[in-house]
Amino acid sequence: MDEASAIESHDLWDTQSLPAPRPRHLRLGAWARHHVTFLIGLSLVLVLILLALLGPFFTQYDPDNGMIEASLAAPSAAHLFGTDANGRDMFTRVLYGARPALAVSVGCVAISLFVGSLLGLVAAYVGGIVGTLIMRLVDIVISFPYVVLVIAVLAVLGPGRLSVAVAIVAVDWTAYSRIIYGQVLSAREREYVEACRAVGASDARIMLRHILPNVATPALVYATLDVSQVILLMSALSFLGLGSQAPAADWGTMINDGQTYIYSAWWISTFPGLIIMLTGTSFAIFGDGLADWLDRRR
Amino acid sequence: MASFLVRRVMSLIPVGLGLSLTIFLLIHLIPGDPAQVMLGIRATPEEIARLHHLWHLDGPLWTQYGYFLRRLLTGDLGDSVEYQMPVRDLLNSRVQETLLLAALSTLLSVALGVPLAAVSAVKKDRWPDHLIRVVTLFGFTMPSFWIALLLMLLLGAKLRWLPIAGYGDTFSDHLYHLILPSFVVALSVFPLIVRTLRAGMLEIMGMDYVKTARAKGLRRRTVLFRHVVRNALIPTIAIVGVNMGFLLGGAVVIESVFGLPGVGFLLIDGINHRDYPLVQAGALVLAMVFVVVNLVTDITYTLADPRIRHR
Repeated sequence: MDEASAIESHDLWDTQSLPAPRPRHLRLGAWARHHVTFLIGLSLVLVLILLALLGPFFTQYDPDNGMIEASLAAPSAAHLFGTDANGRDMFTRVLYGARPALAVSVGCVAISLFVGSLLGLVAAYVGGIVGTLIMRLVDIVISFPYVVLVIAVLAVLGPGRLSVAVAIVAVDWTAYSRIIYGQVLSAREREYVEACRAVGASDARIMLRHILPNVATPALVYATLDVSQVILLMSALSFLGLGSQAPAADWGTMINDGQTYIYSAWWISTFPGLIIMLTGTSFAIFGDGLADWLDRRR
Repeated sequence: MASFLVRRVMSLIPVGLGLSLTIFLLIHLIPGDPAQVMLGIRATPEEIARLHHLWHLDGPLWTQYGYFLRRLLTGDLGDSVEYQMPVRDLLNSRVQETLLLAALSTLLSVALGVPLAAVSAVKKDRWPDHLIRVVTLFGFTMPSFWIALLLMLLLGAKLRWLPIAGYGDTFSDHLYHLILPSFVVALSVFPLIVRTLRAGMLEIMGMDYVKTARAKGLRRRTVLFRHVVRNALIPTIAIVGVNMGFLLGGAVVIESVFGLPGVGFLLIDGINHRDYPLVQAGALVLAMVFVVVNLVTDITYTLADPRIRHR
């Protein structure tokens, strides 16, 4: 039998001679083994979100009104993280602090991601004066040290949680514009874009349906890491007295409250700091895992 | 090379204009009369009228910006409401501390970051690498003001090794007082150096010339120090420059924690007292430090690496 007929006689659809596909649970297992970081990060983030949502069910104390007779109590079975000068249970306050911390940081990053990506996309795709204006604005914003500009904007807006969010978004969107801008510049010249144009797709459709999905990955990965940095920045601003105002349960404010008592009641500042670090770490691991996973899929 | 230098220095002009415009516009975003805002609540109508005339506040915005620029170029940054003195003199006396803190923090973060990156790259995927990656991850996500408090408690109050507040009187005293603050700032910056440099070293270690060096019989150690680390040091300059904004931001926060008399401390102080001339000038000075450091690192980077030929 010559080679050609051998190929012809070979039944391409003969699945019997192929190795049997591995059972579904084994494939899942292998997938999980290859994406340990991603799964750890994802579970940590999910646990945090659950804690933020269900926090009030895990505690019997009021986060804002303490019992003055229990003031500055060391950690014990009754008060896991101790109490502060007003006799407020620190464990309760840390739990209640999770909701604003996660909501504001994720919200800020989401808005920055949306606005920044859109402007970067338009700047790169449309170009011209609009593009130049957008990217010059980005250049100006990033020629300030990030925190310094956020603080300067806060000086105008006055302290408060909403001001912090606005100030952060006002600076943070530029990172996404830069990422997307660079990506779109190279994507714009690819054949698939030319093909879209040839079949008469509109510019908006090409940008949103074809280019954006192809360039979004680096921005998404950056966003997850960004959440951890925004949480840090927010707590630093609260610590400096520029963020949430008392008596709101805010992690940074709690650390500031404990500063006065750091030598006698170390627990007031210590536990909120630990939870900030854990939250930041969770999002950072999640981001790293996500980057790994998306890299492998390519 | 000369044309690169000229072009790079000339690029400061649009950046400087952008920075000053931002700072100028920020004050105009505050509701109310800019003169009233700048002079504070205790200002008399005569003072407000004088400022209106001096800053041409009745003219259109762009002429106001023109006069603002002219004042900036002559070094006139206005008077501080809180301290009742020219902001320029105030900043002059404080900028030294901030520069010293930034320099020490940079040195410490490089001293921490470069060896750790080298070990992490050489021992890739073995326990020292894992350990270093975990440590840098925590360094990256740790609130610096929080670790500052804990270190003040441990090293300052319990062990009494280091001063936990103040700035001292002589230069050596300044340095002594800055050890703990700059270490704290470095803790949040060195992870960025380790991360970038580790990736860079791994790339270099896979290159042909490293294999050649090994193949011609050089010892691992020699190859590592002569060829890998030396080549990875050049990008370190760029990494430091890029992260200088991050470092300065950290310094602002840390100055407030340790009560150090720097520009960052003045900035926060200015916000708390609604001392807008101080906030304006403080933000502008920090931004200029950032821009100049970036310029210097860019030029050093280009001079240090003959392969870089800027178009």
